[in-house]
Amino acid sequence: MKKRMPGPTRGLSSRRDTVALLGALCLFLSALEYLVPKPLPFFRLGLSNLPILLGLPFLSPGDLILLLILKVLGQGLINGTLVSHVFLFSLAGSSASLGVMAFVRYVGKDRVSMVGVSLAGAMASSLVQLFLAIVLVFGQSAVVIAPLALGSGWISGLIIGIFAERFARSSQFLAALKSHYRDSPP
Amino acid sequence: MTRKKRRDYISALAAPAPRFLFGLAALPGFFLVDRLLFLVLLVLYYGAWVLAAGKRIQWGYFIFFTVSVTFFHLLTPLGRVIVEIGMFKITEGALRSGLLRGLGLTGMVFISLASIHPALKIPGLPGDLLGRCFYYFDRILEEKHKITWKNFFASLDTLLLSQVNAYNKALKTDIAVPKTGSLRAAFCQFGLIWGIICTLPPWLVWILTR
Repeated sequence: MKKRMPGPTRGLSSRRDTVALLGALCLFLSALEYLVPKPLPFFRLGLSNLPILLGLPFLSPGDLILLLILKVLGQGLINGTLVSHVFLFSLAGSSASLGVMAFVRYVGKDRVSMVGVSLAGAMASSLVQLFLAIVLVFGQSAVVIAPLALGSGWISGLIIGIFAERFARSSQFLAALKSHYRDSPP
Repeated sequence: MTRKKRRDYISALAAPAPRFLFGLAALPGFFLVDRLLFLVLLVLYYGAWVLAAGKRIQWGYFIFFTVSVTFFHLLTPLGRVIVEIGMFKITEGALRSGLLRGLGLTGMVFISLASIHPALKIPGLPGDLLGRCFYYFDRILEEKHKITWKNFFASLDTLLLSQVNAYNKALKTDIAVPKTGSLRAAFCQFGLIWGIICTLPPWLVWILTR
């Protein structure tokens, strides 16, 4: 079956193509997460953060930000939450997570494992989303759910970190993507 | 992983861009409505349009969401006490503000669900990248049967490996065929009927209940 090729994207570099492929993986994993039963109504595993974690060691800061934009915009479009508070929560949580993960990665270099980086990102995301929940949705009383929110964030960060470690160790796709990215002009 | 695709009736009324813009225009009017009964009716109204858009609503989730938002508002007493359950006092102001907030956010999600179509074009570089991203997403979805739960990582890896640079390779052989216009497409272009359906009700309620 022939695919419709969006015209304007023809001029994009191969590096940006890598970002688009990782963005598609975010959307696919996000769709996959719907199949995983949730132990709590507000608990999310955050599988769609996996490509960002995998791209952290080799993508440029600009491309990481583009990947983040693709993830939140794509999810907003597919799930239809683009003009709702869900989109704001997703954007704020993902941005905080990316910022903290990039910082931990930059400071810790290879001494910090993917699990450590993922945990730091998940905690940042949970904190920001908790803050927004208090300010915009539940009011100050919601402080009582802080341990639950941070605890579930910690668990999801741990699981995603373990997934990322395992995937990165054996993935031929990731190796090919890295070399494709490095060999392509910016 | 397969789910039966439902028909999107709103697509016949509006193209993705006006559909999005009219949804956006409905939001301020919706937030100005401060009568609980009208707000409930509007939430149900937009819920019906979400179903018409071929999307599912997890009613249990939204009920739980509204109840929990209201519960947390009740923890901060405000106004006249309606009911006292032991130490817990249900106050009129807290109940009202909790329900308004919970229903308001639920309604906002419903407006968003009804007015956002995946084919909505975003301008600039993010829009261009998104087009390419959806191309890959479609390809992964088409070949998802190759992914097995037993060998999840290995099978996902093989599928993804086959996609590296697939877009640029495909550009050499595949040429875009623009869709031709039709009367129905021209009718959808401005989405005026959707504008009346989506944007008008909350503004009308606000004006009539001021």
